[in-house]
Amino acid sequence: MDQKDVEKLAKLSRLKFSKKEKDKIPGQLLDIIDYVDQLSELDTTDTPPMGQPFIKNLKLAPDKVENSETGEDIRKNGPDFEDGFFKVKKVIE
Amino acid sequence: MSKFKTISQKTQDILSGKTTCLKVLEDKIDNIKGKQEKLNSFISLDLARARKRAKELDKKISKGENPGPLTGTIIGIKDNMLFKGTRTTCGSKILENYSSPYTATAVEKLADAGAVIIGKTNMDEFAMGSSGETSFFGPTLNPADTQRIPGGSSSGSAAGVASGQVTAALGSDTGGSIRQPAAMCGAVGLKPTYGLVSRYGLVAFSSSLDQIGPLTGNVTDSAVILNAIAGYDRRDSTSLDVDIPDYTEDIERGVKDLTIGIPQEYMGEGLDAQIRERVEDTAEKLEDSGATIRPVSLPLTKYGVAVYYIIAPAEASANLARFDGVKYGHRSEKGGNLISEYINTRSEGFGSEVKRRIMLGTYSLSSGYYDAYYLKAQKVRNLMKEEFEEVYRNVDFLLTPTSPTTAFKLGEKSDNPLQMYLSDVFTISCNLVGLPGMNVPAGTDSAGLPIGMQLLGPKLSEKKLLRVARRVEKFYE
Repeated sequence: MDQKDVEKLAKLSRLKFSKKEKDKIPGQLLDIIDYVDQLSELDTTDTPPMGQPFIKNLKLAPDKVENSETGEDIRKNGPDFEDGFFKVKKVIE
Repeated sequence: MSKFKTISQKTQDILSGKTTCLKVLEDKIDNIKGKQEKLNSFISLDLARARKRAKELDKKISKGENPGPLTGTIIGIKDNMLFKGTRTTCGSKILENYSSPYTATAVEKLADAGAVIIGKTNMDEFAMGSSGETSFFGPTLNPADTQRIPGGSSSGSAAGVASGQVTAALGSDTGGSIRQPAAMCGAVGLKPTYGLVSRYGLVAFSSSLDQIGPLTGNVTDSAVILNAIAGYDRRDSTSLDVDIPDYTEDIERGVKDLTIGIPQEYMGEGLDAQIRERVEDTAEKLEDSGATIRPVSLPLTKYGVAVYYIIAPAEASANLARFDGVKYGHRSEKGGNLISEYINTRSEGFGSEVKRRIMLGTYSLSSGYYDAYYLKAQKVRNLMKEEFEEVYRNVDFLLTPTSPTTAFKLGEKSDNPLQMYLSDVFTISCNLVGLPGMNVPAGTDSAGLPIGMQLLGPKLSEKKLLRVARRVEKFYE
């Protein structure tokens, strides 16, 4: 992992780092990646992936629209809200 | 019986007119404020609201009503759960001013049972940390020794309970975040079976691992709180539709008919000698109480941290994508186009541990690495689940240390993320497989720092698990 990889990950993550942080990141990420690489010693050829602990005892909620009284409370957390919309910077120049 | 009163005894004192909710609260207020200054266990305290609530409860009682099994119980809520009328910060600058638009199911259930919620407890930022030090609002200190960390990420909940600020608190546990701080502060901490407690209103960190549970001063209280918060909730799609027993029933029944396994992999290298001795002592005492003790093996344990640090950051990187300055709180004022506003907002709003995990998760989900990391981890996770199921065919529960060490010094592991991650080695597996686990205090080490025993059990075994925990608690009261 080099600075180029860090730049790419940062771009995908929508993050940016100071010069000082940038110098530290590859080392710390590499430490962790080296550590998790030990999983490659396990044979998982016939094992299906597990996305969540349980499938049994789950049930689907009825597909029905219900009134929510939280609308205003949700909107007021938006830094810029107008006429029913969250406002952002211009997307198309 | 414990030297402290249980929730049920305190509630009985209120309902019988011996005292009132308001008096119970007022008697505690100096303690709450004093400890807050010393420990920084709360991000927000709302004592005026708590007083109002206590008065309302007293009014109901004076009319002959019974507000419920938690009447007047003083409770703190980890600051990643919504409680309408409070801020929910997740210990992060990015949500510094986020106002809870509704109330989490677990919190609502506590309130419905008569609890008095006094505030929101400190935590590692977005529950990412094992020491409480990553909070934007400053670290929480360990009540047993303020030079030391209280564990994390439910740092304030554990310190608040252990210091007596609150009778109980809610925490969330993704890789040990209830049990590990409970062990380090000397509290009881329970991570229930995945899906037993609704997560509606809990800010998501790693959705396939997160679970809400109680931190309490004793095992009986843990059962009382679980009674209040467990149960199906249609607003959480992972909520289990199962019958909920009375968790307090049979809690004193002992361990006579039970087989308890000691996984050898939890007793090896890196484990503090005094903690190891305490586990062995606990096992002997359980045997003397009529349980059968059996050594067992969980060879995949050593891969737990690796699986976790692929799955949790991957899910976190997706869950935290929503914090972009559009719908919530902090938005950068640096200007630029929309993309640079996203980048600036996130870079200003998140702390370094959160950024590190987002980067790590993005890496393991990115093209070319997905199969080697994320998919591989999910497969190993399945192997771990099979391994636990196999072990539970032969034993009822497992006894292990909760943490390899007692509370370490502030700053000791801050510069070495991997070392910090390894402090969760004993608590992580149970989240990966979705099974319940709890910490029970088992005295202190020679420096006076709390030692915790961890008890692990099969799916939905909480009722019996609490029974074993109650017995272990008695050994060290």
